[in-house]
Amino acid sequence: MTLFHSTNSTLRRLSCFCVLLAALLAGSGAAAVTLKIATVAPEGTAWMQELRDAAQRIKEQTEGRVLFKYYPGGVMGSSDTVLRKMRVGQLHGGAFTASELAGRDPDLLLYGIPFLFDSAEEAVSVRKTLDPLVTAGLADAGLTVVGISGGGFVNLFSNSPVREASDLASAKVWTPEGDAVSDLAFRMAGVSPVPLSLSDVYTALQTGALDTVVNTTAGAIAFQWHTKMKYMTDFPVAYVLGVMALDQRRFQRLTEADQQVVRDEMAMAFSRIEATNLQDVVGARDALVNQGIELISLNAAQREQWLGLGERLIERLKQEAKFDLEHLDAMMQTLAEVRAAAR
Amino acid sequence: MMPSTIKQRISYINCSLQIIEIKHYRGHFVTPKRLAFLLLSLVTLSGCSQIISRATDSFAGSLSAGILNQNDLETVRDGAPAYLLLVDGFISDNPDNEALLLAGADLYGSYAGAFVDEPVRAQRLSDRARQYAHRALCVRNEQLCDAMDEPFETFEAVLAAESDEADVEALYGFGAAWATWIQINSADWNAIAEIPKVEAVMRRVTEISPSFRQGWPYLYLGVVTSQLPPAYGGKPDNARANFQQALELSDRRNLMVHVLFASEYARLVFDQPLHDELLSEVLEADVNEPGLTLINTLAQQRAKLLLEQSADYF
Repeated sequence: MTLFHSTNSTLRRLSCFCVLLAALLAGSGAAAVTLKIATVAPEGTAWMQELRDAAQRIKEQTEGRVLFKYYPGGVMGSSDTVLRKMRVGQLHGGAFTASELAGRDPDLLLYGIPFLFDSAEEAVSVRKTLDPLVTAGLADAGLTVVGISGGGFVNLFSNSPVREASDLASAKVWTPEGDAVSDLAFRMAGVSPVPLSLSDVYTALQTGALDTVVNTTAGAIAFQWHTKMKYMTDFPVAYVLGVMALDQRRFQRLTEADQQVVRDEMAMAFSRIEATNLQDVVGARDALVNQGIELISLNAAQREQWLGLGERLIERLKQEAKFDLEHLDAMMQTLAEVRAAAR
Repeated sequence: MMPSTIKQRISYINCSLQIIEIKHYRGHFVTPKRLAFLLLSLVTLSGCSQIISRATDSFAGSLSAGILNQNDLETVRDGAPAYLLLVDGFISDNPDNEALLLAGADLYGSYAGAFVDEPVRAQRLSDRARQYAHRALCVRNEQLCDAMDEPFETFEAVLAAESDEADVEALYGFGAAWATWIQINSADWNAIAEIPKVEAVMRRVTEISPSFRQGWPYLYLGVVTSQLPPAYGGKPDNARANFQQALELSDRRNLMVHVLFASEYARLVFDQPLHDELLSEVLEADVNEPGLTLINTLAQQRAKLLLEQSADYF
């Protein structure tokens, strides 16, 4: 009896404790979670407007439980700094280019392999295979991907016409600092590129330390590089991808329903951003022509030459085992299928 | 040029009388629409064009002053369209009058930039501002006019070699109208691609005449140089120096300098203390200042909004 009473009382106390714990947990779930996100995009751009609109809709749908605070214009520092701040909890996410996340999952470099794609359609098809793979890879590295958007291709801008690799022989070609794949690609093309951070490129163009750069058409205008360039080779050099990744631990503090709201709204925002990006690429291309930049067209043999360089680059990268080879094979398989279907 | 024949003298007297009459009306109870009607009637009178030309030069200036010294935004919003039509009439009759063209560009650009929310209308009106300013520049300096559509480096070289003190009003007017046009058409990459040319024009104005218009060119330069974050090669230190120069040259009395310093620079570099300090100064300031009352009233309105958003932004 005593034992029963005692056990019963313990159970009651335990059950009270559980109710209390549940209430506390429910309480912590209900408290607002603010996600601090860094991006290099300046305030006032379509990109930031989409992110702010998405944040507002998420706030409304989660009844204020999930809030976003943005740090635009690169005020939180470089992508490495942002990732470091995410690790210590000062920030909870960021918008990155694919290559900026390669430290967490090298497969992110696959998208931007130079001279890989012949058209935007090829890139879009390959992404159907690759996006789920890298999303899973980043999840294993502690990052939750909530948005991916294609930004079109970077093109080659120069001060003398570039049709073949040999035209680059005496050029001062830029590669982004730390981008080993681009560096290797240009070396295989017979060029010793000049590695510089993005922020130093315009000054280098002014001083003549560089005369050949790659950028999207929109980027070339936004960074005012177009004022220093005369030609654009009308051939896609490399695909650009933007990824919004959140710190997984922070994200998992949200209820599953709230996580879904964030995923849905951000996916829609990034889909709209991608549509805007693609319009920008076309609009900016026309504007470059209007500004006096001459487009250099390539013939079939010249295109094949650049694509051949891309293929040799992939073989080399395979040897160096830079990526998950299965993922690389999956990507190349998709690409081969797309090309076969197009023929 | 003074009229020499009797017929011209008569015309001159007639015109003068009507101008005096209009000035009298303007000082008292005439409505903007009635004023526009009167003046449009006036400019259709034959034989008056030269006299009108001179009169309208000063009148256009008075019009601008009348608007700029207004502290009631609604009055300007409602009344300005009549003035725009009026200036169109003057320009139609004096198509090569640089001062009128610049006044037209100024009025159209200011109205489109500050008072028109509907994008298509704003674009249409800013187009006209830019066209008037472009015509003024072409009247003033043919080489500069021809260089406008050249690639940037050619344009910059012509600007340095072919512009001097005599061109500064036309250059500034063109730069200002162009900047407004870009702001309103910022979804168009053709507009964004022209920002470096506007920057070059305003920089040239400051080289020729460092204290021109109490620092307005520096204000434009401040805004233009705040658009690019350092990560993309932007130079916020230059932006800050431009805004500080504009503050100094305006004796801190052009409150729009504070507002744009806060919204463009302080937000770019995430400097909340500077942002809030500049905007608080605007809210505490007296808006009344000859030539700046309207701008200051607008600035105060905008400062209030920006300050309310401060905690959310930073």
